[in-house]
Amino acid sequence: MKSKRLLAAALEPVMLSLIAEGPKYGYEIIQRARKISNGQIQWSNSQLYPLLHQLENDKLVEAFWRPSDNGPDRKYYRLTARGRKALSETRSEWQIMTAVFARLWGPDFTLDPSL
Amino acid sequence: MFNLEDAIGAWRTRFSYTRTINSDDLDEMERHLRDQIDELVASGIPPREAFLRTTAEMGTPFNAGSEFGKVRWPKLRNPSALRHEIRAATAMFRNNAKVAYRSLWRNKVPTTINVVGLAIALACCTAVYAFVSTWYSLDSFHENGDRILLAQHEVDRSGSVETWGSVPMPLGPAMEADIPQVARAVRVNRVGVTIRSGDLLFDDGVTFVDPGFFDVLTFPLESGSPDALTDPSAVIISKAAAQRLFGDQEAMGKPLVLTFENGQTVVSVGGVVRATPSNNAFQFSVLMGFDAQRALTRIDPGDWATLSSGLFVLSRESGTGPEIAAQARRYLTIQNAAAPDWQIQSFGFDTFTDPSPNAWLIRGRIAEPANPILTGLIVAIAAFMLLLACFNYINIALGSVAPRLREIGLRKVIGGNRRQLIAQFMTENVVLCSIALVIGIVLARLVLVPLFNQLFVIQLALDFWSSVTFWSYIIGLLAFVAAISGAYPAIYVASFQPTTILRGRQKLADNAWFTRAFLTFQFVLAFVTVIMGVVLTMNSRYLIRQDWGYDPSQTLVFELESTDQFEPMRNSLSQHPGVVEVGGARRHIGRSPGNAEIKHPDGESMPILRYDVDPHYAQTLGLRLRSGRLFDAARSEDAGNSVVVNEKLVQAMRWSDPIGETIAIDTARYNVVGVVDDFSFFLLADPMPTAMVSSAEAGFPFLTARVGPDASEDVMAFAEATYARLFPESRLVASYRQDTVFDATYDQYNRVTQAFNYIALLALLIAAMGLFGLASQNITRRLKEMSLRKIAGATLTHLAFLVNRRFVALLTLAAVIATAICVVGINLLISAVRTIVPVAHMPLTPLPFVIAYLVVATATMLAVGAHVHKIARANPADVLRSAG
Repeated sequence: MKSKRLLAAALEPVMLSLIAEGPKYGYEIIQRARKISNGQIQWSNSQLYPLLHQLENDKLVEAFWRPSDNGPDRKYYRLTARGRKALSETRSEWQIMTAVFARLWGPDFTLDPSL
Repeated sequence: MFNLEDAIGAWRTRFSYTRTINSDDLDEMERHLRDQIDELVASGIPPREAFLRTTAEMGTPFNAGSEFGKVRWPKLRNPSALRHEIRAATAMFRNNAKVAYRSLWRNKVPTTINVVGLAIALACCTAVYAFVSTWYSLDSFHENGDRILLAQHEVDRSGSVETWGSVPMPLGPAMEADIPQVARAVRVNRVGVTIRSGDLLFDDGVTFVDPGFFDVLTFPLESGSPDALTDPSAVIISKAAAQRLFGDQEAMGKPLVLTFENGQTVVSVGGVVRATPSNNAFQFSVLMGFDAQRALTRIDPGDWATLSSGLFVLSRESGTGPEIAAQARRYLTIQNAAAPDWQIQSFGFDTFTDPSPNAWLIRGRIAEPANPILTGLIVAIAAFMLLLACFNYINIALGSVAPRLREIGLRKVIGGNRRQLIAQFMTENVVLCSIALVIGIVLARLVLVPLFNQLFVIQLALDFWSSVTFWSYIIGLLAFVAAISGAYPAIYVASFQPTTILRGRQKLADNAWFTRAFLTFQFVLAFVTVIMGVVLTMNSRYLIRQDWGYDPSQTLVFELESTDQFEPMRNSLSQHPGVVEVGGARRHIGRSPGNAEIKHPDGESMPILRYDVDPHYAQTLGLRLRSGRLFDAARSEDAGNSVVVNEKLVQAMRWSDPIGETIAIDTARYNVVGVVDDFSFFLLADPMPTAMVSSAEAGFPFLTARVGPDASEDVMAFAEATYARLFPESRLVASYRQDTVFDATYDQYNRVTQAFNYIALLALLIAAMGLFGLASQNITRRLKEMSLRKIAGATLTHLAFLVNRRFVALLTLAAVIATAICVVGINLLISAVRTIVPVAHMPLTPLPFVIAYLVVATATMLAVGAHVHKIARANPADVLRSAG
């Protein structure tokens, strides 16, 4: 995606939604985001971890270590009650926006040719 | 050979030095690294390539660290690093403080000047804080808070609407009965009275209040009970009154004699109010039940046409003032019918503890509210003083930089950076400001607050220890002054280049035009205040030297408690060998004027002063006869028929030969038998037309006695002893020498003069300091030039002239502006004052101006002289050698 601002605005709700699917570790979050967006969302590590820690500071997510089959333990993140509440709020807001665009850019939508 | 584990270990070590990333974060990042590498390797990329690509994406330790730092700095900051930083900072501050102390100590003169200037300004700011905080918390201590309302009314007086703090007498009880929102209504009425306790006598006021007074207002009693307000023979007095009347003795139950205009009563003290807070604006000394006044003052509390001084209303809920005002409109009809010449248009009820900003415009408000104009003026003066002091500090600081250039240059060469240099100069500034602040607070406490208290009714308290607001204000003030005065010199100095300094090429800034304009302004201010101070001082001398129109020396006056005491007293006093003459009067010249109106030749009535006197009064007082004769006890036709007038009255009536003319006062006709010189009443410049009517009737409360040389004290003692013997139940209202009657007025005048002289001194001091700073800059900049001139043979006078040439021009300009301001201002002042009280003033001569110029010039010479001394002492060889 080209628009950095849109990406930045979507960063937190997307990340909360990804974690809401089930506890995930950092690398897994990046992979899943890439896959679900068909490669449109490409987060860098330096974006991801500070935001995760910020969410942790805000008590929206909590972290825990879990042993892995191959190699050392992984740090997983899961939503807290507060995080769920924040997500449902932000979700209804985004749904309003998508509904607005769906109606706006319906089948009848055309660009004014005179412009 | 590439080893992935080694590479990851090395990567981890590099990141471990970043203090915002802890080992937990590193574990997480390492796991991420491994996952990504594994995936890349699985897709066929060699491990080395995969490692490099992945770590590149992870970023450098510095970048990653700062990203992490944004989120978790406070939590993860390394405690030992923090300790280290604190230790370094304190060490630096200690070092800076030491250098600051040394440099301040070395430059004693500029330091002293700066400290004194800032201390004065900070003292003003501290006093203003006390003033404003007291004024804007007036009456806030009452527990019923914003439920207490103070009544006011609007009245149309010949077209202009005026707001008054008084209300019709019956309004309070009527509102309490009729309006459900009103819980209590307490009327307040102030009446002038003479209070006597034993030998002590005071002119004061009695405040009559309804019995609910103590339920509405919070004035705790120290002793006694509020029930005393229902007892017509008891009063409750303030702590201040108790101390004045009884000292440290118990006041409860003590008798007081109250003398009203219409009679006398003896009451006993039934309560003492605890000392009131300093922010109490509702002042009282004696409280008495409201109903008691009917008997004592002939005031009818049920009369809608009579106004009582004020009314407190306790509402059931706060914020109901407008509602109550709307309800109170129902009383307008009855009031307007009762008082045709005082048509009230509306009543208002303002919160007493938090009055509206316009409360100061209410006439006769029983508690004087804050005056925004006065407050604004005082705040502006303090702020202005502070700005002047800061500005002078900047000038002096820039001036004293030159000798320290090498210090600055060397510090820079050995690695001192800009921040450290700024810190150094700021530390110096903060140390200096702190010293000034301490002196300033002491100065405010010892000088300024007492001075304020002398000039205003409301007493200020400078609450030192308990007030958090006071200390935050002080610390804020310190920070503000330090920032304003210290920042510019510090930044300016720190910007010098070491190479320029050490090669001796550093140019110091020339005085900018605004610096000079500012200095001119300071001097205009200094000139104006000094001129005004001199004028006022000279005028007070002039006032004392003024001719009173009669001879007040060797004249004693006794004010009797009752008029039937006059005859016995006169008879006894006449027996005393030291007494030359004894006279009596109903009203006394210099003390209490009588008013009357006579018919002017144009047909209009003219206000005059009228004194009813016995045949001896004029001679006793030494009034100077111009023509005709004074009253004669031997002529029986004088009594009730003859009148002696003053010169002013003759002029006003346009009589060419006044003797034999008649004047009409009310229905009576009087023959003019004599004319006397004008005499002054108070300090009037224009004496009022005065008629002195010969009165046959007795009933003189003023007894005047002219005594022989050196007999004053003797006769005074004799008269007081005689009075005590003849009337053991009474006390003399007053006894004094006639030449002291204006003393109180002189005192008041002199207090104003003194206050003005203080202001002049401050303005002069600050202006001189400003000049000192500017001159020191000027001279340090030109020291090399001066040394060369000295070698070439220039005299000291010539050098002094060269250095100060521009200041002479500047000072002359200031003097011209100030003179213009003063000439216009004084004339405006005189004409403004004349319409209120025609105080006598001397003709405006150049003399006070010359004196003021000399004073300012002397101060200037002292300020500049210090620098000229520096030039004189400097050895040109030394200067030139070090200047390179």
